[in-house]
Amino acid sequence: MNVHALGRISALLLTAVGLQFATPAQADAIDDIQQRGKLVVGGKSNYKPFGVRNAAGEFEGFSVDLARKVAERLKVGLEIIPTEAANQIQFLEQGKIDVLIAAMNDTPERRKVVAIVEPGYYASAANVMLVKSAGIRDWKELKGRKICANQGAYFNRHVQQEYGAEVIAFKSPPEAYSALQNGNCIGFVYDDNALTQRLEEPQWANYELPLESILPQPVAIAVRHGEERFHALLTELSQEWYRAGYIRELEQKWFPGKRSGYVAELEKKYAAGSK
Amino acid sequence: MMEALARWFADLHERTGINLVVFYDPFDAARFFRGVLLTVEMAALCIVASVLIGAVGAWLQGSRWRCVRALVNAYVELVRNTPSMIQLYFLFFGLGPYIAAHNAHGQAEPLISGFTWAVVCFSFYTGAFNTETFRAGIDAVPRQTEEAAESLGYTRLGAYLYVVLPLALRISFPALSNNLVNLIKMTSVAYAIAVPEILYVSNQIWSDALNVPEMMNVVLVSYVLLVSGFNALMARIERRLRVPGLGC
Repeated sequence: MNVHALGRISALLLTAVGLQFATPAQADAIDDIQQRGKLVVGGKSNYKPFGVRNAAGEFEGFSVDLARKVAERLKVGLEIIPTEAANQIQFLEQGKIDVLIAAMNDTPERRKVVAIVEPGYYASAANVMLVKSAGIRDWKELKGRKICANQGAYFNRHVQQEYGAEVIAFKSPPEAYSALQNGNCIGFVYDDNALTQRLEEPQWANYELPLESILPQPVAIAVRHGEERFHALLTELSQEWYRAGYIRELEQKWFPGKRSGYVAELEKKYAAGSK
Repeated sequence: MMEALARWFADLHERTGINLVVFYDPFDAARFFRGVLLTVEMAALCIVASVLIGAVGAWLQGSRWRCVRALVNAYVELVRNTPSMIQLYFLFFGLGPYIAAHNAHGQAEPLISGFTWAVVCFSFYTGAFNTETFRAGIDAVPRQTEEAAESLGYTRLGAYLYVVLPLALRISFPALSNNLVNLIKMTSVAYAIAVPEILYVSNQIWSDALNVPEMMNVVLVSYVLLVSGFNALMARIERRLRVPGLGC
């Protein structure tokens, strides 16, 4: 191999490395969506009550109702692509989906890579579903204990670093629930809304949620950075949902009997703004 | 020195957005390093176990008893014809919960950890390939050599251990190296059952730091280094074992 060939190959390699970090040029998302006639939304398929598949195989849930509203506003059809916490942001960055309505929590790290729509459409926090016999009454008692988790959740690191738990993170929540039932860990650290609902099922009678929820965060819609028009439209829609009481309606539908302080506060803020 | 390096990588992130967090954040650096160590440990255990399984398997394949030969062949076929990840899921989620004892809180806790299941799974998986590789090596040892050993008073096991296997090992060495390189790469499958090896810890890190492209590069380079190191070691062993006149 001569020097020229080597030079050419290294130039190629450098280009490949450069390409990895370059962001693809995008046309305006709204034009794309309307031309296509279909809004492609990244959503959850195993996260009750935000997004699950029902017996007929269709998506339903809090986030799904909002996705439908967005599609209606754009006057296009709706397709939902199931995502996981560990891949949702990559799906958005790669343009596989137009928008994330996947019960994703708003965190500073995520704000750097995607454009979060404010206000968030709900709020959630982390809690841990524990086997009753472990008798845990404080987060600090998790030190050195095995705790199952979902890969990609924003609170995993905190539980590991602050409380010293040994976090065993699985690819998706069903595997983590299964590992908890099999005794691979004494608890499952996950979103408090999802755990509360799960605990009502009879097969979880020997488990409890004895601790206070930690790290509350808004759950928000996200689009790619630079999609100014789409972002503005979603911001307007989100505010409208609070003003019209639609978020409250969805809360009653998907969390019967619950009245979260987060929703009440935002309702007040946007109702006041409209006067 | 380490601090200066860490500062350089933190600065690189500030300036260019290229976030190689494992080189400047102590928490992420520690968990990544532990992941690399665990991969090395898992690979080392599997290499030893799979070579032993291969040697025993190949010997049993030449057994006088048909049922023993059938049993070994059944093992080789079953293991070779199913993906290692499916086997691992089967062992961990399908079999693991039944091998459990009650722990201090009366919770049935599996006795076999994810790490152990991974070692067992990959050892038997690669052991099946090694069995076939050694078998081919043994077949290449001239029958007369074995007869010569027997005429000198070796038992069947003795002739196998001291004459046939050492020659067969040299003949099958390149193919064995291939199997073992595949084994090292296969350890990343343990990620699926939350064994904190390189890929698993990297996934944890990129989920927190959202630096997927950077971590993919780090993972790739880590495996290139690990496997290159192993190849250099195998080349050395092969040179040491060389018998003038055998093979080429």
